Amino acid sequence: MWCAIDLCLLVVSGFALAAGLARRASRLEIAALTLCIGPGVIGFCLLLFSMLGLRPNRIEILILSAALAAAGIAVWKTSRFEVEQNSGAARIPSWWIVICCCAIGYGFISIAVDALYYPIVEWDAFAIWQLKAQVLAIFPLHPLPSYFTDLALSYSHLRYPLLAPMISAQMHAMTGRIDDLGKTVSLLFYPGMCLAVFAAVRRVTGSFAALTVTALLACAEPICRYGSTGTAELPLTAFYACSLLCMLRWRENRQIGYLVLTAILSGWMAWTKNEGLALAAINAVVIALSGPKELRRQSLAAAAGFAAVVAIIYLPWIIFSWGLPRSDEDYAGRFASLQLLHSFGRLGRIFLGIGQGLIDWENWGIFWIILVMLAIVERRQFRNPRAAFIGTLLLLHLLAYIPAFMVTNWNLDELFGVTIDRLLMHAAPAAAILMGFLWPAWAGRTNATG
Amino acid sequence: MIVSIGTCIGYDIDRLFILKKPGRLAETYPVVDGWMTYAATPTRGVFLKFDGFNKADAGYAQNIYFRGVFVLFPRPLLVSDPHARINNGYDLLKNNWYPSDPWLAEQGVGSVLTVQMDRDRNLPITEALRWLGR
Repeated sequence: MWCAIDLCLLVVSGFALAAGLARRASRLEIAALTLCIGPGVIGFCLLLFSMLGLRPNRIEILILSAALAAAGIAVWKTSRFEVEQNSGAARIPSWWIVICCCAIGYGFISIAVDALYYPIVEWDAFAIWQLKAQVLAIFPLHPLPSYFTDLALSYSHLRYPLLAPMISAQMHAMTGRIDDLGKTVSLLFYPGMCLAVFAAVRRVTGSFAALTVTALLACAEPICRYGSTGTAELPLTAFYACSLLCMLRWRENRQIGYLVLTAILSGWMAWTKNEGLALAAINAVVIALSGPKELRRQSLAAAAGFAAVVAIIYLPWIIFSWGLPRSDEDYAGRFASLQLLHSFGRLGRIFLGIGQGLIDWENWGIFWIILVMLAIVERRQFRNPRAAFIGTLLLLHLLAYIPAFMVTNWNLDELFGVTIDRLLMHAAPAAAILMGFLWPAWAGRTNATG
Repeated sequence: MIVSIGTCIGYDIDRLFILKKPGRLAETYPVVDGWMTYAATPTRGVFLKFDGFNKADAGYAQNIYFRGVFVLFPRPLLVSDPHARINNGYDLLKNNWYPSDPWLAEQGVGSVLTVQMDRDRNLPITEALRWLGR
């Protein structure tokens, strides 16, 4: 019962921030942001409290949720939601709606089965993420628990960021038990991610494209497989999907609230996985480059403001993790040692590995092949700034993996075998949104916002 | 689109409901979980000794250790001197020793569980459990 209450509290907690900053967003957009921001804001606040010496507990979470709910009520009273445009919904054949809803519904069932029925069995979950959740549930971060300096536990990556484990730990605190329910938060992240992609595409190319790309994304095998195993993959993907939605809205209306939301979500991405820091940096670069030349100065100022908010959010982690032992992977240290310059021989194998990942039938069906085909056939759509914006983001996202593969101490074949599906999963929301933006007119594209 | 959706759902149904991969994994780990909870006390942890494991068996040792740490936490599960850096099964087998019984007691350990490789079945089995101070 406490698990269900906690999930409801997380939803309520996310509303204030989502509706308060995303002014005049549609109800769909607010729903998407609320579902993902709720766990993020509670998890982040609990991390800060934990750094002050308070480990997560039920009272603390109830008070925090009540405060956020009160703020949400105040925001609700002053909110004006955008009237949703009926962007060609009537043109979607009903059989296609059924197929897409089945795909999305199946994805949710798959996630729910993993979350509620199976225990924690994913290797990364029990060796890394859920072990950290136990640490956070039992000990505050101040004074520093011995876990973080125990070299015998180096395999669990002592310096990995802690937001996803804290989201699980708060569930442990609410239920009063350290058990497998820590992964049930994926029941919020998964629909949040799907709604973010749907809302982003629907605004631009209409419901047909939005429903189709959401269905393609929702049932992708890596998302179903890793979605609720207790790892940090889905939280990162969901935060990223919401940050894309907010960035697109900011590009459209230049309202500062969307930029702040993008920065907050990007900061949380960095708190979720180290890869999230690279994605936040890419977001900053693309924000700086976005907009026409006459708005370039505004874009640069926006990127600087974005970077400042991300830095403020990330600073506590830099202070906390300073001096903690690094694992044998230690990518940051390898970049610093210029090992990158000696690894150009690996480039061919890296491109081959990423290419093989993209066409892996068992993982993705023809998801990425459809995207490549659309990009070729509908290449003129890249003249649309929105498509160019997301296309640049996706390209930079995929390129960002290359340096890590160049300096890794792993055998590349082994590493691709265990990581490429997850890395592509993180990029999948951008791919799905791009697919929607490239949607051809003959297939039901409606230029919803012109 | 239908091909892609159908393929993805097909493979996931295979994973989740036909091959039942999470379920099969869930059947194997309770064995290790059971060893750990039996060997530990409510307040004291375990030292795990791997007997007859060679390099090819490092994966088994690694899985047992990582799972055991998760199951026993916050009670300690030691496999070496805590100053040894353990990133994988090879590190573990290389450093799998302890200074003395009193030292183990100081670390909060209450027993030493020895796991052996059963060469006939090529599977790890528990060989002995020794309680400290008894």
